[in-house]
Amino acid sequence: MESSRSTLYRSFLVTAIVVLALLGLGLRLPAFLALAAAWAGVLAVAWYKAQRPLDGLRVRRDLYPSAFEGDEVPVEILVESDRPARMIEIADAFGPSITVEQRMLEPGPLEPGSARRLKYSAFCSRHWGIHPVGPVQVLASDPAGLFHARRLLPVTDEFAVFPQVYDVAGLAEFGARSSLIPHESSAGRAGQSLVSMGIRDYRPGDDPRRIHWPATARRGSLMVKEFEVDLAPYYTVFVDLDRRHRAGTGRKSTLEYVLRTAGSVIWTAVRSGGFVQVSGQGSKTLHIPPGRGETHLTFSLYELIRADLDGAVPLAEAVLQQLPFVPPQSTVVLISGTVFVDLGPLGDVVEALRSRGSRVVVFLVNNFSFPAISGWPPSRPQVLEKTQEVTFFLRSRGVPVRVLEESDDLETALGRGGLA
Amino acid sequence: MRRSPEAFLRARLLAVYLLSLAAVSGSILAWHPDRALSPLNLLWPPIGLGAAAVAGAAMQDRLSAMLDRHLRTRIRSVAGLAYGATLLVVSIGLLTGSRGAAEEGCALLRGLQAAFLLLAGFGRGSLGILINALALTATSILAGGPGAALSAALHGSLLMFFLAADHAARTLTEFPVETMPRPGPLLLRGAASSGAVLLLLGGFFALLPPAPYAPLQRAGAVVSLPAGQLVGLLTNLGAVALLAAIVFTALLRFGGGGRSGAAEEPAFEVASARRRTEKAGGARYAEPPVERKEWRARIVQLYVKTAEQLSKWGKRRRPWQTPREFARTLAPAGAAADLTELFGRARYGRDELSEADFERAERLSKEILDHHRRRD
Repeated sequence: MESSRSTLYRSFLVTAIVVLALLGLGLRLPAFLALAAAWAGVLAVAWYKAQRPLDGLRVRRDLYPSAFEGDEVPVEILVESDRPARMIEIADAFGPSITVEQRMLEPGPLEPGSARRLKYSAFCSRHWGIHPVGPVQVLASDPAGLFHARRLLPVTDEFAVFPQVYDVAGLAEFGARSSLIPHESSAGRAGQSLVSMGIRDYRPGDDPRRIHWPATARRGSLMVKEFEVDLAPYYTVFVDLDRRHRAGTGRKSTLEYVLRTAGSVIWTAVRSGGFVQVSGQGSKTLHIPPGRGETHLTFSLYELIRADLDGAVPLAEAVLQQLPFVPPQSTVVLISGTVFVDLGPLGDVVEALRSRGSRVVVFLVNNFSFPAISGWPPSRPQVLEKTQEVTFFLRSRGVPVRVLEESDDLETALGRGGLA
Repeated sequence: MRRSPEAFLRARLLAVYLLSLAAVSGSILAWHPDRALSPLNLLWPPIGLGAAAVAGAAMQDRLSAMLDRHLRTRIRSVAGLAYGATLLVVSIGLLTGSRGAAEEGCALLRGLQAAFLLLAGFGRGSLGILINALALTATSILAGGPGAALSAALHGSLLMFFLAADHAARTLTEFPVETMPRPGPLLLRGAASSGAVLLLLGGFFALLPPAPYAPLQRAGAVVSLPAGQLVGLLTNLGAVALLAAIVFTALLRFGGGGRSGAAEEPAFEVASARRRTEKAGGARYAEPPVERKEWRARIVQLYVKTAEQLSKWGKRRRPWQTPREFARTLAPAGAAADLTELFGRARYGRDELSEADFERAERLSKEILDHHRRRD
C-alpha cells in the first residue's frame, strides 16, 4: 500500500490539470477547462485545509528521564488543541533507541479543551550516555491527503541511559561501619542489632524488656540479653580516570570496562543497603557524596556516565588525596584502568587504608588486552608477568583482586567469578 | 483483537468502482447513446467492473507480495510504456477526427479499465485506474453532449471522494490505532468536497453544455439523441448505477468481498489483556493457559509475518537465502540478528521459550519494521 505521506495523487492531479488546461485551450473546449479549474480549486482548498489543524496544537511529553541499557521505556505524549483536529500524525525523536523516530497517530476528533494521551514504548538500544529526546514533529494533512503540513515543536528532554550493571559477587562481605539503624551486617560486640550475642548481668539503666527471664530464674539474679552491634555497609569507590589508560573503542574499551565495573559496584552496594561515595580525578572531578537508596543510585549513575578517561592523576595519588574522606572500617573499591600500577604507591595506599580498619578490594582492567589507541603495547609475556606480580602483591596483603580482560564477559566476570 | 480500517477500505473500493463505472458508462453514453440501453452495454459495466474490482482487491496483496520491488517496478515500466503508446495512438486518432479511433479506441480504453481494476496489485496505489478513467472521461468530453457533462462531473467529484477514503485507509493501515475513528465524519468530509465539485461542474455544464470536438462531429463519430429519449436513457442508467452501488456495497459489507486473507493485516495485534476467570461449576469453557511450546510457535509466526511485511516493502527473502543471510541485508543489524537468533531457537531449537522471549521478539520485529517503514 502506498505510504500515507505519498504525494502520488497530488502529482497526478497537477499533471491532469495541466493536460486538461492544454487540451481545453488547444481544442477550444471549455469542458476541459472547467474540469481543470474545479480540480485546481480543490487543490487550493486542500492546501489551505492542511495548514489549519496545526494552529493551536500543543504537545507535552511524560517520560521518566533515565533507564538502563536494554530497558523498555514507556513514553506518553499529551496532545491538546485549540481547535477541532483529526488525523494528527506525531513523530517523536527518541535518541536512546536505534529506531530514532517513533510515529503515532491521533485519529481524533481532538476537541478544544480536552487532551488526548498517546503512548509508545521505546527500547534503549543505544550505548549508555546522555541522549536527546525530541523535538516532536506534528504532521497534518487535508482530508484528501494531498498536502501535508508539518511543524517542529521544541519539546525536548535529556534522557540518561545507564550502563547495564551486574551484581558483583562477594562484595557485600567486606567492611562496614557501626550504625544505630538496623542492618543485615553486624559485628560481635555489644550493640543494638537483632542478632543475639549472649547474656550478661543486669546493670542499672538496662531496658527491663531485655531481661532474660529463664536465665534470671536459673541464676537467681537479673540477667539481660545482649545484642551485637549493627554495621552499615559503607563503600568508597575510586575510579581511575587517567587518560594514559585509554584503549579500545566502543563497547570494548577501558572506559567501558572501568565505568561499567564502577556502576556494578555502586549497584551492588546500594542494593545491599550500604552508603556509597565515588571519587575520580578526570579533567573534571568525579565526586559523588555518600548516600544510599534508589535516588542516590540514580544520581551516582547519572554522574558516572558523564565521566571520561581524560585525567592525569594516577589512581594511587587520587586515593591518597581523598584519604581523609574515607571512613574507618569501610570498604574501599579501587578500579584501575591498567595492570601496570606502581607497586610502591599502591602499597602505601593499601597500608594507609588498612591502618584505618578499611577493607580494600581492587579491580584491574588490563588496558593492554584492548586494541591500543596510541603507542606500542608491551609484549604479552610482559603483561602476563606484571599481572601476576600485581595480583601476588595485593593478595599477599589480603586484598581481593580481580583482573578484567577484553575477552571477559563482565556479567560473568563480576557476577559468577566475583572477587578472587 | 486486530483492528483494521475495514470501513475505509470498503469506501475506497466503492469509490474506485463508482469512478470506473462513471467513466465507462459515461463513455458509452457519450459515443453510443443509441446503443446504451442494449442489455450488453447496460449490464457489463456494473457487473464486469464490480467483479474486476472485487477480484483485484482480493488479489492485491498476493500480487504485490509475489514479486520484489525491483521486478514490480520493471513490470510497471513496461506496462506503462505499452499503455502510453496505446493512449497516444488513440489520442492522435481522436484529435485527427478518426471515426475508427472513437469506436475501437474508446472500446479498448473501456476494456482496459476492467484490466486495471483487476491488476491493481502491480500498480502504485490506484494510479492506473485513475489515469485510464481520466483518459476515458477526456475522450467522452470530446464527444460533447450530456454524456460528456455526466462523465466529467461524476469523474471530478468521485475522485475527491476516492482521495478522502484512500487517505484515511492508508493512514489508519500504516498506524494501527487502539480506537478506530468513526468512519462517518471522515467520509462525510470527502463526500462534502465531492458534492461541491459535482455542483460546481453540474452548474457549469447546465449553463454551458459541452460541445463536441468539431472534426469528430464532421466525421460522423458523434451520435445525438432527441431530448425525450435522452432523459429516459439517463434515468435508466442512473437507476442501474444506483442498484449496482447498493449491491456492490452489500457484497463488500456482508460477503467479505475484496478482503484478501493477509491483505491489510499488520504484523502486530492489539490484544486486550483480561484476567482468567475460574471455572464456575465446570459448566463454562475456560480458555486454556498458553503452553510453553506455544511461545515457540508464536515466535515463528511473528518472524514469518515480519518477513511478509518486509517483502511487501521490497525487502524480500530470496529462496536461496538462509535466515541469517537474510538478516544481514536488514537494518538495524543488531535487531535483525537477534530476531533471527530467536527464530532459530524457536524453529529448530530444543529449549522451550518463554513469554519474555516472545515479547523480546515482538520488540525486535517492531524495531525492524519501524526502520524499514520509515525508509519506504
